Amino acid sequence: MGVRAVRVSSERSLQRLWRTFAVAYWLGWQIESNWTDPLLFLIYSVIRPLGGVLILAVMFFVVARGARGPVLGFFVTGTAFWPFVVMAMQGMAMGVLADREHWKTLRYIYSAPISYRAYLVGRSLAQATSALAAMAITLLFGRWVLGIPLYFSTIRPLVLLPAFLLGIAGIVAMGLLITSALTWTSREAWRLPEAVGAALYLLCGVIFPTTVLPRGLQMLSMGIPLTWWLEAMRRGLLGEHALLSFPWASDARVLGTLAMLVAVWIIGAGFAFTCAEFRARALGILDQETGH
Amino acid sequence: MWDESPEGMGELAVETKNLVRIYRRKRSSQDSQERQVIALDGVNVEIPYGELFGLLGPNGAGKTTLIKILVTLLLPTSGTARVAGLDVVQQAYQVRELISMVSGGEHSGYGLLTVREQLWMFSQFYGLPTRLALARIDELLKIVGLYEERNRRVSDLSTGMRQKMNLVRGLLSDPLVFFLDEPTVGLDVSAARDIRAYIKEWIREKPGRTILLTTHYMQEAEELCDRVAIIHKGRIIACDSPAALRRSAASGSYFLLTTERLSEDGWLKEVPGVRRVDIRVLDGRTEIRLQVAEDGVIAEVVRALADRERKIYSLTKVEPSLEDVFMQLVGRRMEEADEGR
Repeated sequence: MGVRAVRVSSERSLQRLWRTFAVAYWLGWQIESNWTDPLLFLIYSVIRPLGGVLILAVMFFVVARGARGPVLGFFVTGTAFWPFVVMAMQGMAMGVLADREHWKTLRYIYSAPISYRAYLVGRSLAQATSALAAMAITLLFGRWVLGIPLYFSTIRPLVLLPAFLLGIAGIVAMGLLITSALTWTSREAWRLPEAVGAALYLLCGVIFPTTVLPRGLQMLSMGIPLTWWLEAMRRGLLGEHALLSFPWASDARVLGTLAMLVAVWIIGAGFAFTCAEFRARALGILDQETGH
Repeated sequence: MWDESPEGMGELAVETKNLVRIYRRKRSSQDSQERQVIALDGVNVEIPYGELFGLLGPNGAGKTTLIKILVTLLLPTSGTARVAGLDVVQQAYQVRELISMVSGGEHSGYGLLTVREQLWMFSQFYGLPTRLALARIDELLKIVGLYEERNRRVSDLSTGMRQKMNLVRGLLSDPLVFFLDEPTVGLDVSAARDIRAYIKEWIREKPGRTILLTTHYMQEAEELCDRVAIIHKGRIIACDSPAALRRSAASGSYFLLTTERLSEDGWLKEVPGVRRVDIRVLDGRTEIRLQVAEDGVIAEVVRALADRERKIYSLTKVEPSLEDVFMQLVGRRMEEADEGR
């Protein structure tokens, strides 16, 4: 005769989702910020993006021979928002790899009664938070030092805010897609997120408009939410002064396309992750470390 | 948190039926050919609630594979596995609410967090309110002797301390079924003893809870387990209580006699009740291993030796161990049967 048991305290699934997300966010932030003392972390958070934008600015002025105006605005805004992609998208994938390979906690997290997707989103957004400082510093530097046409009067919150939220959702979806691939990957796993990030950097109109790309690559870039996100962010920040990748599209169309693409990518990433997770469990490689 | 109740889960804490797990592995990264490795080959296990069940076997026998399936990390190739009546494939999420796992021989844990932070984090994954979680963390840390280290970073802990912390992590959610995969492997004697002591205490204090423990330490299995299954090459080749397994050893108990060197030993087999005699000469003395029909027979052997004016240096009765049982079943010692040897 077996002893039987019932759960005394049960949580609603939404509460559980939120709790998982919040704890994962907390963990991600601890990992991101806890490696040194707070002062050093603060200095690092300022110096790092500043260093990055200075290098790019010098490159820009050498290539563009001192050009300013819309081209520089395009360049600076792309550079300002790109850290979200690096941190949130690559960060999610790298976080999974670190759980599996470095901290060796993946099996315990995965076998806990949580939504692993909510956990991943929490980890991803913790990383994205650290990109906020980089964004602010780059924009301030662009405005006050490089003189890009960014004014309060050019900012359009009704474009900027929804674009920002949709973009973050798209980035998380893309992170989930890369993470799906990582569940199968072993030896080359660490390189995958960086390789994808580098390809997107060239494709999505980060430092030059997609109109300069060959026709085929232009079509490809139009299917990626990041392209539309950066376009919408520029319109929301620089207004009339923005150099556009899609000058023929209205703001509403840009936002609508972004929303549609984000929805498609979220559904696709969710499906891909479900398949990858199932396959990884079937192959027995879900928690297997590099070298399998 | 669990209450005993007449209603609820299945009759068995763990049940597997014809469980098979086959891995397909490439021979090398350049080679496209795959080879099949049968990790589990038709495993049937039934573990009632309240039992501390041991899975004993050499490295590569399939112990970890079985645990991975039961904790929903791995899918079986065929067969079924249930935990508390729930199918580990179809009802994985529900299974996870009831279980917990701790593996030995690894340095898991977020090194940047303190012990308390790390444990709090995992408690949240199981839905424990923070106040209750912190109280339980402190209580468990005191029990395993890690309370003083609660604010140390995980990266600063020794292997033994880290394993104790992971044991606490596993127990935080008060699991109905607790899976321990080689929990003392790689630990020093003292840390291993502490962990074994706490495992025993936990299951004694929590009737109805079940532990499935894998080990390749015979002594650990004998000391802790109510029942032990011996697994070899993915098959359960024996399953019973440690005492019953020892009794089942065909050799049974035997006597070990050390005497003055015997010039002739054929007469030993003629003593009534002596079943088997093995003799070897060591340092000018004779060591006699005797299997007898019943213990009283040894008196006749001693008398016969006295009649022949042979001195007896020692006489010991030796009970068979699980090592003997394993050797009888597999034909090799456990360490010889480890994968790759």
